[in-house]
Amino acid sequence: MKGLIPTEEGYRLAREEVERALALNPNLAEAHTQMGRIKQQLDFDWAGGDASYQRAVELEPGNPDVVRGAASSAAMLDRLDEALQLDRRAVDLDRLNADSWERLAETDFFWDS
Amino acid sequence: MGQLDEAAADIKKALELNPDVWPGDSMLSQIYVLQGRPQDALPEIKLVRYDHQRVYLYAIAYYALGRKKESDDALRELIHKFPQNTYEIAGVYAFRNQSDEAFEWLDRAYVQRNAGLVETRVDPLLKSLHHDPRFASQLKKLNFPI
Repeated sequence: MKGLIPTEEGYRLAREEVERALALNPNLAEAHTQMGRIKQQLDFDWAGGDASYQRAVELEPGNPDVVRGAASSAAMLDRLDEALQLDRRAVDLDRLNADSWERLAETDFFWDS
Repeated sequence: MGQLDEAAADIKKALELNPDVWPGDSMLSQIYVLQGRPQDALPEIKLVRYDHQRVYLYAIAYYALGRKKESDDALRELIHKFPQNTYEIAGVYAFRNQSDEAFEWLDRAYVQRNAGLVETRVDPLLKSLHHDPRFASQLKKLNFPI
């Protein structure tokens, strides 16, 4: 598709850039969230990814994007009660954030599995 | 209120706040199908922006409506036009209770490192595969903690 780069190259660049961000600032919550995504999505490293998501929440517990990341990780690992709690927390942090309501819907949806 | 009712209410709220929220209408369509009201999914599917998602959703919704030929046509189109959407194709086959084909496409998704695989363990579209020993093997291959 025009304007897009090959998937593998995109994955490689994403990993390099997140690693660089964390080298510059090991306390950057969003970078830990992205690292969690890379570890789970690309490496199938569920525990490592989950730890990255949880580190992000420790660093910025009031950031709905970060809390949503941790909720997503908990949901993928079938910890749906925990995911729901985190999703509701993200919604409460910003009740006008559409992405947080969507994430909450996804966890409810997964409950049907 | 059941979880799917909650999911429908939450995704409607998300769409009200931002009609472009991802995956918005697609999620609502899938919820309607799983709630056993696939006829309500059809108008929602029309609102989905991306061609590959619309075709995927039609394959599921038509199957749920008992319109097998239309589901077959949509699935054929999905495979022909969007073969890289391996995880979605596996989901359609699983929903249609065609487990051999579903596992074949899950294998392709694994080779491709398809992003959808993160949902394997909790995806309700794959529910028909859970009793099959190949599903446990799939989870093991994906390194999921058991």
